[in-house]
Amino acid sequence: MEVFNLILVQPIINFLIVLSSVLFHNFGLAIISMTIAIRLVILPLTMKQLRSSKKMTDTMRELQPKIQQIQKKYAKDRVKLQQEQMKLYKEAGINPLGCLASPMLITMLLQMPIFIAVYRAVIETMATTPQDFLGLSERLYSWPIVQHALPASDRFLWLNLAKPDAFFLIPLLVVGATWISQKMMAQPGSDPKQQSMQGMMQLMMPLMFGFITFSLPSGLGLYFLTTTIIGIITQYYIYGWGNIGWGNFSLSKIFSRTPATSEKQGDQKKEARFSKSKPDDIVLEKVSSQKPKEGASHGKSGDKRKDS
Amino acid sequence: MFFIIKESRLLKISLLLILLGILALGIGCAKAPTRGWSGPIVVNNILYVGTIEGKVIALNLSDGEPVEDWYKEIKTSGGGGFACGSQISKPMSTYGTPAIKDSVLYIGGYNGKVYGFDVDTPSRLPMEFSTGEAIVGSPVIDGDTLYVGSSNGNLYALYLDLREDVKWQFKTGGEIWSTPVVVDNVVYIGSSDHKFYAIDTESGNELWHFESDGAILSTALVSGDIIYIGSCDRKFYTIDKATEEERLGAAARAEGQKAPVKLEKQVFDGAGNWFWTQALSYEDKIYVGNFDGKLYVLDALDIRNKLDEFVTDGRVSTPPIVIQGKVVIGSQDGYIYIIDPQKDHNVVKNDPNPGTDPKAARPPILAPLWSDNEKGIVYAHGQNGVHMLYAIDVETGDLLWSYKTSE
Repeated sequence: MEVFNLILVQPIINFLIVLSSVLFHNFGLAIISMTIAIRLVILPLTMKQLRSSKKMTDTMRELQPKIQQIQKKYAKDRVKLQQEQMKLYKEAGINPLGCLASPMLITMLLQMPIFIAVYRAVIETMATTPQDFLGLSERLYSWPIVQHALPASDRFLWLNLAKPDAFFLIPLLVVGATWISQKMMAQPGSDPKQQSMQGMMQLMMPLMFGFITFSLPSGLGLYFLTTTIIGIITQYYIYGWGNIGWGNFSLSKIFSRTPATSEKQGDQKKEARFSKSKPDDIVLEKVSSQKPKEGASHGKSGDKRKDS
Repeated sequence: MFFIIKESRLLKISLLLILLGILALGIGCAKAPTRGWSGPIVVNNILYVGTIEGKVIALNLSDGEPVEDWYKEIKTSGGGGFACGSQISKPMSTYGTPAIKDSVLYIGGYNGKVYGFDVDTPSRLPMEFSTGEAIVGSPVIDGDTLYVGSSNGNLYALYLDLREDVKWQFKTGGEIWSTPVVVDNVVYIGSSDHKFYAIDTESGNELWHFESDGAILSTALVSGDIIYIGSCDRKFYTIDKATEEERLGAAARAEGQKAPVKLEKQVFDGAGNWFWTQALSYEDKIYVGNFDGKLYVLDALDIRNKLDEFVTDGRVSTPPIVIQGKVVIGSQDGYIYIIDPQKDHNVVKNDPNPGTDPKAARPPILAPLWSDNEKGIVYAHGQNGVHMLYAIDVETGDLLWSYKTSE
């Protein structure tokens, strides 16, 4: 742990303090600037991961017709179906873990030590109690600029960076930004379970980070919001808007479990769903007069509606 | 419009939300607790000290036992994360050393309140004055006025009955975590805005201020005409004490006119870390502890001249005291150091926890010490997890007794 403190936490603390001193003694600006700097450092890795993911997405899209053929052929033999799918993935060089191997998740895991270090650094630099301030004395380099900058100002816009956001704006923004990031990166797939898991992730990840941001000091929320927005910008450069169809945006699509379907696929899925439903499951059918759009393409989220 | 939802998925989502809630609760409520470094005070053979549980307890020094039914609780509302409850009352820690006058014990709490407890009538409700933000320094009484600084940046001059009206209050630019010092109708106080102020006790007008390069969290030492003060810029300064002319000048100053800036006389910049303690003047020497673990001995007439230094294994934040001709300090390594200037500064290192594995961590001593010069006993309050009050014989270095102040 001491090595972790020495290599990551201590340099980040001093870097943050120097930045705040340079940026008009504004700790909020220092957090934002530091986040940008960290993301720039790991940008080559991030870009590599995103390009790899895009390649996988494109390959998956090309394989869709073959996957559908296999599903049709082995609809009643799940074991054989999975075997043939795995074989196809392997031949195409696709990671069968699917969303679990998503670059988003991998990038986040790689960022985890940095996030933990930033968490520690922000908490220790804010030094809300005398004990914290006392402990901070051992983290500082002997640079005069560091001594002059303390104590760090905890005010930024409407925020007290040492406390959770009293207006909950930061957590809401984190939820929104995380959802956009997740949605952009959603991969098409024909496996209902994979899509189900993906849909769950797209819902739960934003909520999870929103929940966490609720309770943490808003300085950390600010860090997370900034890093997520930078992630969106980076993803846009590679993917464009990905699976987000702004023209088709509606609340129903937020809860969609099936990001990319054709009309035929939608019928097949509906049939498969009803064939698996248990007698005691509660099913509420959506009633709408809207017909699905013709020629709905891959990469756009949609859900088949039952005509009234 | 209805959504297609399966009950089994609803159950999964509900379970996940519950888990997330528990996680958020854990993160939100698991922040580091405030501690405290309250020092003891002894009056009429009764020792009073604040505890981490937010109590003030009294020990009878005749037998080392708590005074029956005498403890005071400092309660407040407030909590951690959004789910930790903003309406839950819980005790808060105390940092400052109590002050006693006319059988009333005054102490500041981390909840921002100054309390006045009747020492002789424990059942009587306390007097209270609220500053709004945490009080870390100790209250000081001069005549019929109580002076206390707050984390809201204000220095308050209060009536001893702690009525809501104040005599005056003076606003600094940062938190006040030090203890005021009153000498010759001037109160001196440092602030985290990097400034050290001299304020007229009658009017609350600023006479002057001194600016350093770091936060000033130390309590000043006024000895003769010189003020000795350390700063978080790792330097130790001397400043000329305020004069009567300066007091009169402050009274005559037009409204809106800024107070002058005082310059330092001398600077000692040989320390390795922050100064966050009051210095001691003894036999033309200045003893001052530093967060680099050392106690520096400086020439009182020229602090640039370092005469000696003593090394401990922890930060030194307790003010040195003199007892029976010996200088005593506590360190955050958990040891008490007894230095004899008469014997070429011979040092006796006292272990308040004898019999403990030498490698085991000891409760660090952050709070000011209290000395009984007549009996040659020094009282120290060690605080870290287990909080212990120690009584040590200065002559022999032996531990006389210890008392656990935390539950």
